[in-house]
Parts: sequence; C-alpha cells; structure tokens
Amino acid sequence: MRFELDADQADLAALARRFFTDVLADDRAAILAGRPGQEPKIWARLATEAGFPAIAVPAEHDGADGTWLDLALVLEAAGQAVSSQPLLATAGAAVAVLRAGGPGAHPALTEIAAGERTATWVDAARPADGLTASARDGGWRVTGQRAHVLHGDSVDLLLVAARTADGLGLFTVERGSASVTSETPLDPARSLGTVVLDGTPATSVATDLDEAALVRAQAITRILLAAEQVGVGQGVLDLAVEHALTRQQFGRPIGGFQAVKHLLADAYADVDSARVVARYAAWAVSTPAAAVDRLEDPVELAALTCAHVSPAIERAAAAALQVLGGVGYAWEHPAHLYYKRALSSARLLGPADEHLDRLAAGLGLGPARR
Amino acid sequence: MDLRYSAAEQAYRDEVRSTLRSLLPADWAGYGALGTEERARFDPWWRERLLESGMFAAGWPAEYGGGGLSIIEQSIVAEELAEAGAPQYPTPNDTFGLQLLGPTLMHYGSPEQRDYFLPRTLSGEIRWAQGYSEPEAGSDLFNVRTVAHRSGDTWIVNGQKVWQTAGTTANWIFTVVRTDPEVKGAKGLSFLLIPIDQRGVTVRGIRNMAGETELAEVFFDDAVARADHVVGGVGQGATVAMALLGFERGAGGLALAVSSRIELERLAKLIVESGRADDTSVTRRLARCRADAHAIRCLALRTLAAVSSKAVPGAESSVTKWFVSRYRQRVTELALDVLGPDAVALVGPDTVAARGPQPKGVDPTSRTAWIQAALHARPITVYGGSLQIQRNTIGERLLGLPREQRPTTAAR
Repeated sequence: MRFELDADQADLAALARRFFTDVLADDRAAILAGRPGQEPKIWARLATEAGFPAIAVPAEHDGADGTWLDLALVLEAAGQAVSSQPLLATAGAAVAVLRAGGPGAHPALTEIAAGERTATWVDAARPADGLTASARDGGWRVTGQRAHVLHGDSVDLLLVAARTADGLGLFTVERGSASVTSETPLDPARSLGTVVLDGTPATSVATDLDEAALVRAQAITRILLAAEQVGVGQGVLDLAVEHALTRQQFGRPIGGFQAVKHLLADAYADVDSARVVARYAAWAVSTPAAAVDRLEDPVELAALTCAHVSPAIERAAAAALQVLGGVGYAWEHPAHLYYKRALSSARLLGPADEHLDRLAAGLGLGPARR
Repeated sequence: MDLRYSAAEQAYRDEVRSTLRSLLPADWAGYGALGTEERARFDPWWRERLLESGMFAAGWPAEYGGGGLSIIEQSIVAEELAEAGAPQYPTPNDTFGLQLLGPTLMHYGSPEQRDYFLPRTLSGEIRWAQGYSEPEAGSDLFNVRTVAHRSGDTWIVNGQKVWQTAGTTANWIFTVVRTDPEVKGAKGLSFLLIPIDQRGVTVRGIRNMAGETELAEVFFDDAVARADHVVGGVGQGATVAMALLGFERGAGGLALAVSSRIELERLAKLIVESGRADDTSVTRRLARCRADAHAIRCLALRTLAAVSSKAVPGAESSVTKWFVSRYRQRVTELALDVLGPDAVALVGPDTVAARGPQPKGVDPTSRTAWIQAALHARPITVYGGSLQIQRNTIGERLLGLPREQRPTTAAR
C-alpha cells in the first residue's frame, strides 16, 4: 500500500510543474490581454513537447494510454499556475466523453492525442438535457444551446451528447459551424462561450450511447477539475506564504505572528486534505479493481470529492487574500486570478447542492432519494 | 500510488470477520446496544476472547504475547471490530498499555523491563495511566515540575500530574519527571514508571462535564520508584515521551472512518425519526459530514500507507488531527440541531464514555447519546496537542514560518 506517487508519476508531476512555470509569463500576458488560452505557441508546446493532451487517450488512438491519475497530476500543476490553456476541456472532458462513446475508432481522439485539435464537451454538467439530434440528408444536425461552455469560444471541436429518435448519441461539431458568443468570465484565465446549435451539421461518434457511461464521464471530469482546484489552492497558498515570510511589520515577518500563522495553517490543512481526497478519487477511477472500499461508483465518488474540495480551496484562497493584504486586492498581483479560479471552479460543473443531495440520498434522505 | 490491499490482506480481513462472528454472541447487535451492567460483564470476557484470538495487542510481536500483525493487518482488525461494534480495548487502561507503553518498552526498555511489564500489561495485572500533563505543563509539555531525586536504589518523587484518563482504575503510571533540577525545559527529564498502589501516591478523580469520572489527578508525596524503572536512560525523558506519542498513529485511522460512517447512518435515522428527511437545511449538512467522513478515510489511508512503508509519521499527522477534531464537533453539533428543543434534556440510557463516535448498537433516537457525544467532542480540540498547537506545528514545520517566540523559555 502506497499513497505517495510512484517514480513515474512523480516525474510527470515535476515535468508538468516545470512546463507551466516555463510558459507562465506568456500565458499571463495572454490572460491580461483578454485572450486567455489563445496563445497558439503555448498550446503547441504543451501538445507536442509535453504531450499532455494525449495522456488519457488509449493507445489505439495513438494516445499515451496513461491513467486519469496521470492527467490529474498534470492538471494540479496547471492549476498551480492558473493556466489558461484548454487542457481540462480537451484532455479531460472531451477525452472522457469520447471514451464513453465506446470502443469505435474516433478520429477526434487521434487528433486530440496528436495535439492537432482542441476540444470541449459542451455540457459536462448536465449531459443531453435539451440537446437533440436528427438525421438529415445522410448527415446529422444538432439543436440546443448551452451557456458557460468551458473554452467554448476558442476550441476547435465541440462534443455534444444529444437525444436522437433512437436514444442518445454523441456528436462532434466544428466550432466554426456553431453560433458561439464569448462570455465575460469571472475567471479571466478561463474563457467561456455560449453555444447555440440550430440544425448545426454534426458528425456522429456514437448513436447508442449508454446514459450511465455519460454520467461516468461527467464524474471523471469533475474529479479532474478537483485536481486542478488543488493546484489552485497550492499556488495561492505559496504566494501567501512567500509574502508572510518577507513582509515585515512591527519589525518582524508577519508569518511569525500567530494570527497570520494560524490562518495559513488552516489554508495548508485545507489544501493538503483536498489533495489527499482528490488524488484518492483520481486513483480510484484509474483503478477498476479498486476494492479499497465500497466506492465503486465514480458518480458518488465525484460528489464526495467535490463536496470536500470546492469549499476547502475557496477557503484557502480567501485566507491567502487576507494574508496578502492590500497587495492581493490589486489587479497586477496574480492572487485574484487564483481566487476567481477557485470561485468559478466550485460552480462550473453544477451546483454544490446537487452533490450534497446525492450524498444525502446515499443515506436515504433528501430530495434526490428514490 | 496504489492503495489496494494484497490478496493475502483481503483474505486476512475475511478471516477476521469470520473469527469475530464466531466469537461474538449470536444475538450481537453492537456494544452500544448493551446496558451498563451488561457492559461490565462483557468487557473482561471480551478481553479474554481477543487475547486468545491474537487480535489483542495485535501489533506486538509474538515473542511478547502479541498477534505479530503488520500495521495493515492491525488496521484491518481495528476496522472489522468497528464494523462489528465490538471494542478493541475493552478495559479503560488497555489503550495506554497496549498502544502506547508496550511499543515504547519494546523500543527503549531494558530486557528486564520488557520481561516484567509486557506480560503483566497483557494479562491486565498492570493497568497503565499516562502521566505527562501537569498543572503548569499543558501545551508547554516539558515545563515539568514533578521532581525525582535519587536515593540509593530508588527515585523519590514529588509533584503532581493531572488529566490522567482512566487514572482511577490504573495501578501504574508512566511519567515524565525532572531528574536533573538544575536544567529547565526538555532537558533533565526522565521517563519513569511508578507504581500507584503505595503510600506516597494519591489519585483523585476529576468529573468531566459529561458527568463521568474518567479523568484523575495524581499526587506524588515522597513516592518511591525503582531506580531501574527509568526507560531509555536518565535524561532521555523528552525523547522517549515524544516517541511514545508517535506509536499512537497509524493503525486506528480507518477504524475511525468506519465508526464515523456508522454514526452518520445513525444520525440519518434520527433525522428520519424527527420527520426531517426532506428538510434540506438538515440533509445537506449531513451530506457535508458524509464528505468529511470520506476525507477522514482518505487521510487515514495516507497515514497507513506511510507507516506501512516504515515512514515516520511527521507533521502531516497534525493535519489529520486538525480535521478530525473539528469534524467531531461539527457532526455532534448537527445532531443537537436535529434534536432541536429535545436537546435540552437527557432522555435515554447512559451511553459509553467514548471520545470518538458511539459504537454500533446505540439507539439512534437516544437524546442522551447525542448530547453526551456533543459534550465529549469539546475537549478533542484540547487534549493531545490543542488545535492551536496543531496550527503552530503546521505553520512552523510544514510551511516554514518563523517559530513562535517563547518568552518563558528565555526567562527560565
């Protein structure tokens, strides 16, 4: 039994930290210029040099055949830098839903693995609800709309799970064919789009999609987001600790004052426990025979994970802002990027109450119980 | 990262389960279902059953009469006992002798000390209390005033210890005493074993706010201890005392996650009984507690994995304590809120004086049980290193923040 990372996992985590540190200045410049995630050079390096989009793509699609835990470790590093790259959307949500589409050959997976295309799943929060598809002229057309689609205004490809006459299908839509409006995101480092599909041409990936597989893909996306949130918490905590060690008041570093130290200790414990919970979840969904407990159900596991991680990271980010004082409130200091990412991530993939109602239902209580 | 149990470990779990089924009475519904008198009869009987089956002193090597189990097997035993609702340490002093002093003697004790104390601790002939805290030594752990001076083959001890759990039923106490009065703080201390049944020792019970006399204070007035009952060498008291605390960690975390889950199932039943199964202001708080109990499990897995790979549990155990202690308060506060106006009077039988969750079998609607649990949850952020001391540890040892200025140390 081993909780620590293996040598390979530790190497990957270190590589990812180096990578996101390397590209930090360019990425921040794009964010502050209002073009988050749209610095093609960074994505090109991320895809070809580092190979991150290929991590969770199976070998049959020329992927790296890694685990969700591997990807989670890279996303932790991405979060630590509040990266604006569409890695969670492309390598996480899109790959998860494509893999849910069944074992068929999906050109989209191969393109993602090769780093040729970025992608997102238009609805990682409430799959298929209100999205429909119909066959027409030998092709498919999809209709419906979604707001707050992760990187929806900038990725190449949109993944759409939609109801058909026969059941549930999975489709790809060229972003250029859809009507997409850029939103003004709370988190300036993560672009969001409102996607309107109105008989938009689509390519079918799967026509007999299992609803449970979709829900599982959604759970995996949430668990990957949790990993990124942990990185966000670590990143903002690092800023605050550095400040507490160097900022002097009353003739000594403020980190020596117990009032400040205890704030940071609470933030550390929040981030540390969140990491333990998020890594456990990523490991468990990566390990089919994880008979370590009764948590065979990734949906339940995602609810447990989100219910713990989201508030813990929000608390940590808020504590860090408090320690940073006035400086943390300034636009030019990166702290606000972390805080906004923490706020936004906690709400991005469905309301917290939904997770809680699911967990209460597991104890036979609340509105979600049968 | 790999948290799977080996095939042998899983087989061992099955074995423990079937052993427990065969040992426990056919109509067993959990220790919490027993009345006070039934418990008094059950405890010594159960202690014998555990001893026979090798699950008592599970981690002690077989040569000392223990089960010789690995840390993971010990954890499995503890988990399965929690699942069955059967106590792991049936009599009140067992935890101090088995979990704390036993391993300390194996590590630091002389062969004579081991040969004398270990079998008697196992048999229950010697019942230990822990003598660290003093009126002036709480968070400032080593501000010890109790002194021992050497007189021939004995130490003559004078001073006072306080907050001894199960002190009134103990007949020996392991203490940290000052053997070099010229030195202050952590130096000049020794780890000394003192028999309680002698003229120079007085034990007085302390009633806690739940009304139980589970604590004691111990007065030494020219008490006598044998010269060769110092453990780990004269002047090594602080080292031995800290090492002893380290032995506490590792095997019990997953069992706590199990008993926390059982407690939440019980709380869910209370919520249903109270007609609030659809009241989201309550059910969502319970759901948060469920996520907390899951986090306790994950933290326990980390600790267990570290200990099983022989890593010394470090300051990250402060994070576990930070989390668990506050959780005990959150979950029991929720129970009081569910009881609402019914929380103002104790109705229902007396419960087990437990610091953790009440064991399986407790009536979910017993107001007494929930109220007592809420009272027992208060000192959890105080004893064994207060929440504020844990925060100092996290801040200084894990974040590298400047150490707390300790003016009293300078003044000493």
